[in-house]
Amino acid sequence: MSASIPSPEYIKIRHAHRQFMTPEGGIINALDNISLSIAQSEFITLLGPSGCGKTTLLKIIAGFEELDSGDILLDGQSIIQQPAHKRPVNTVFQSYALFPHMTVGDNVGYGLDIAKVNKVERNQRVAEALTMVGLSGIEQRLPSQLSGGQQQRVALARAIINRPKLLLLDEPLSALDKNLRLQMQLELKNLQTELGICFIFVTHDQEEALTMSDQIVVLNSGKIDQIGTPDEIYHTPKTEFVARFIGESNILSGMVISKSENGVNIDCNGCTIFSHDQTLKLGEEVKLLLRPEHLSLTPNELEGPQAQLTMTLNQTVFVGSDYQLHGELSNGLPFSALTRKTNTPLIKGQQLTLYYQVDALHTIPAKQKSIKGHI
Amino acid sequence: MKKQTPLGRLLSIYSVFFFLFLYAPVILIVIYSFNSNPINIMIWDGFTFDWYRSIFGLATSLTDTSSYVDSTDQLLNALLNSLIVAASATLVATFLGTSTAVALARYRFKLHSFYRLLLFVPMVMPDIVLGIALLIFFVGAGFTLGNSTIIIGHCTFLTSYVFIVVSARLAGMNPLTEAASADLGANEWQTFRRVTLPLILPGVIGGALLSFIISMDDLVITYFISGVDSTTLPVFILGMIRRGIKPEINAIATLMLLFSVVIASAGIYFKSKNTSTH
Amino acid sequence: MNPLNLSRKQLALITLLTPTSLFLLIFFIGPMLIMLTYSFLEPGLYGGVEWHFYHWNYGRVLGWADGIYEEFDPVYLKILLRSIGLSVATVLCTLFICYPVAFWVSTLSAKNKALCIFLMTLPFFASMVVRLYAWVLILRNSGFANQFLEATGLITEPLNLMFSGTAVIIGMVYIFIPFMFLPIYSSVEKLDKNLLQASEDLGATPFTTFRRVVFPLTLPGIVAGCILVFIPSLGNFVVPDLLGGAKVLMIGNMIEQQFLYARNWPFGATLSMVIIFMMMIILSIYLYKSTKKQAGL
Repeated sequence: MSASIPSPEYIKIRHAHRQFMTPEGGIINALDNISLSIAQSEFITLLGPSGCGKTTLLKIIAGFEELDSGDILLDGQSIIQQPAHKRPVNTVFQSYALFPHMTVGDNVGYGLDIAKVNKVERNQRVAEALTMVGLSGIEQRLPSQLSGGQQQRVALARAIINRPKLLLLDEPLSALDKNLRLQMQLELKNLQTELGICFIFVTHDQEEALTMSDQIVVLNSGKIDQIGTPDEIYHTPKTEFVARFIGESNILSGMVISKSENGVNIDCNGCTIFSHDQTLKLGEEVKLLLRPEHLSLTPNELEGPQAQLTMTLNQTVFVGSDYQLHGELSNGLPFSALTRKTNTPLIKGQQLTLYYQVDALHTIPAKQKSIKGHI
Repeated sequence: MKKQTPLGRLLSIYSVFFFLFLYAPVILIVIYSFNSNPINIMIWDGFTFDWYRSIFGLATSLTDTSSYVDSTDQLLNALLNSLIVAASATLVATFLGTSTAVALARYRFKLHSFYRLLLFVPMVMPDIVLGIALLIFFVGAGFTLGNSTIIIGHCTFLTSYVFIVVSARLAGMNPLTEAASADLGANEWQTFRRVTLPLILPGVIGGALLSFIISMDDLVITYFISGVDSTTLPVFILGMIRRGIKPEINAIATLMLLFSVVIASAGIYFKSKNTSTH
Repeated sequence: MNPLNLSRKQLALITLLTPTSLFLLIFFIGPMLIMLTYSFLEPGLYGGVEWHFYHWNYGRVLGWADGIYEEFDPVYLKILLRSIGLSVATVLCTLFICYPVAFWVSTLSAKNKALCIFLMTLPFFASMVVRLYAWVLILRNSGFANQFLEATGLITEPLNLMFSGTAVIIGMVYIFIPFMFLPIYSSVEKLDKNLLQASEDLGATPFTTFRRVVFPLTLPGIVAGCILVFIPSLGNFVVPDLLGGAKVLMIGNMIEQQFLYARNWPFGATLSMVIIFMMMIILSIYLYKSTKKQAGL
């Protein structure tokens, strides 16, 4: 499959719109006119807080929910008129949804039984699918006799056995403990590469999204805030929401007060920050994003041009390899930095000079608007 | 915004008919208990309270006074018997059922599953079988059939109902509260009286209410073990229906339904009140 | 401290259990054993019993005569089979009535669900004899059903609706419906809706999903409901008494007759034992199957 040229518009979602009635009689836009294109054999993550519409979108693609308006094309064909059982799409459910009265073999072979595949081929394919997820030889066990991680793998095997054109994963790792989750993240990514089919993965866990995805779609209240590679999403968030949702962040609001050849000075409530962003106009309001790891107590740890600011230290937290420094800027706003262990003692109330990489400073226009995505 | 499928709509209509089937017959009795037509009670002939007055022995505007005026005493006597039996049987069954539930919930012993079975069987035993077994026993052992035999008979199966309800309550209770009480120096009896009993009281009251209702309604077992002058209300009504349909039965039936609804609603109200504070 | 050297715990346990143990031993196990004994005694000529072993009571149920007075006559066997038939019909009717409604109720909002459950449990509290009386009013010749049909012009002569097998089934269905509904509803409510989506996702049509997922998973509720309806139906005597008349007798009526009119107590006890045996067979199969399932085999 990897030999063929992947179509950049393998899946097209056009103006997808879906409303829900709240019990109080109000209307919520679960999906607000979303358009999105996904290329073949990509690992896409729909990322957002609960209630952002990501699960609704997944259920609509799977066929468990209907669109109020809009269309979904898979490989050039509209699928929204097809019932769920006819769509070449399979789902790994959040709670796995394994049939408790069937053995693992019957669970995995369910789709093949429905498709009336002959016994010999069925058993062979069941064994293959189980081997693929690292669970050979447990066909005769019941789901209740398996651990959470094993159940998760069985659910995965059951979903890929029909060779779907598209695999949907609805927060499949949320019930696993941390170590297992990290392991499964890598395995899922490998499985996707091996199968070469498109995975749409739904999660609210930003680390999970950054680890596995080719592309991340950040959803906020039914709208797409940003589409991009994990790197783009992390380093150049397009909205304050994306900046806050992904990674640790210091966000300051300010206004451009002076421009020079080198860059601009931005005033944030009495604290001046220097930026290289030449596109900013004098008097423009902006949001500034400064990741804690781009700050340092000593200038030589950083690369490129630097600037500095002063913070009053309130609290120091040891997080293993580094120290988290929490404090406030001269204007009283909370601020934090992540630094290596230092030899100088850190005392509460101390004035610290923090250096930052000017190139790592990211500016977000204060006016936000959602975008129509094309990947 | 959820659209209903044709199948879903069919199901809704079906379910409405289901609840109609469940309630229409009973509502029919209530409506026709106010029908003034004395000859065919199913033909509406105007509104009246006569049948209610009649069953309580009050003067009616009916020309034909032959109806049930003479049996009013029997009716009230049956009602009194029912209340005596239900109250006494409830008292005994609540005591027996609760103590057994506490024993089974708090102690581990060899005959545990035997006791579970022993308390399960009287509930599933068909009424008629239990009724005649008790009849043979009472007659053989020389008991005089009367209120006392009915009370004993009712206790054999009511104990099981109390047991089930109280056990459910005990199962939902945190056993560590009892450990805490013991830890603070209370002995078994003090712990039971000051911690366990207050916590299971809603269950005990619920079980008692349930047994009161079941005892009041029991027909088959009572039918076999009641004496000549210890007829309870359901047995009395069965006798009336067997002798022929009279408008007064509608009125009595309506009053009994009203009574059941009041008790059931009270029980459910207390239950919801207790679970909401729990 | 005490003569038997019991611990405080053992004493407490004995105190708690003794009253119930004694009560049920004397007034439940005792009567059951006496009834079992009676079923093997010879009926006396004028009521009462002869105290010696006599096995013809059971033969008589199956139609064999006692060898002295009677010819082979399967009248009791017929009544037994009729009782089983009517009970099975009642079970099937309640099942088909309740199963769809249970699904409907499970889709309602929490508030409406609570209301429906309340409406289903309310009949438990209403007197059985009153509820049956309602059907006497509806089904008898000058009853509501006939008047309705006459008013619509469908019939000119009143139909004989009472005193038929159908009337008995209607009456039993009516009083036993909650016993079927509640266990089925609880198993439907437990059904994880994700499983239905998973099945559909894997290509199953709604019918296949029902056959392979919904039905097997609600089966425990169905079986429990069937048992809870079948056992009391089998021994019922009030419903056939009021709605079946002399034409549709069931075992319950035979037992009543033996005790209150024929005064053949041993034979009545035997008929009761037949009900107990059937109940025991059903319950043991049920318990065997469910423990086997719990063991995960």
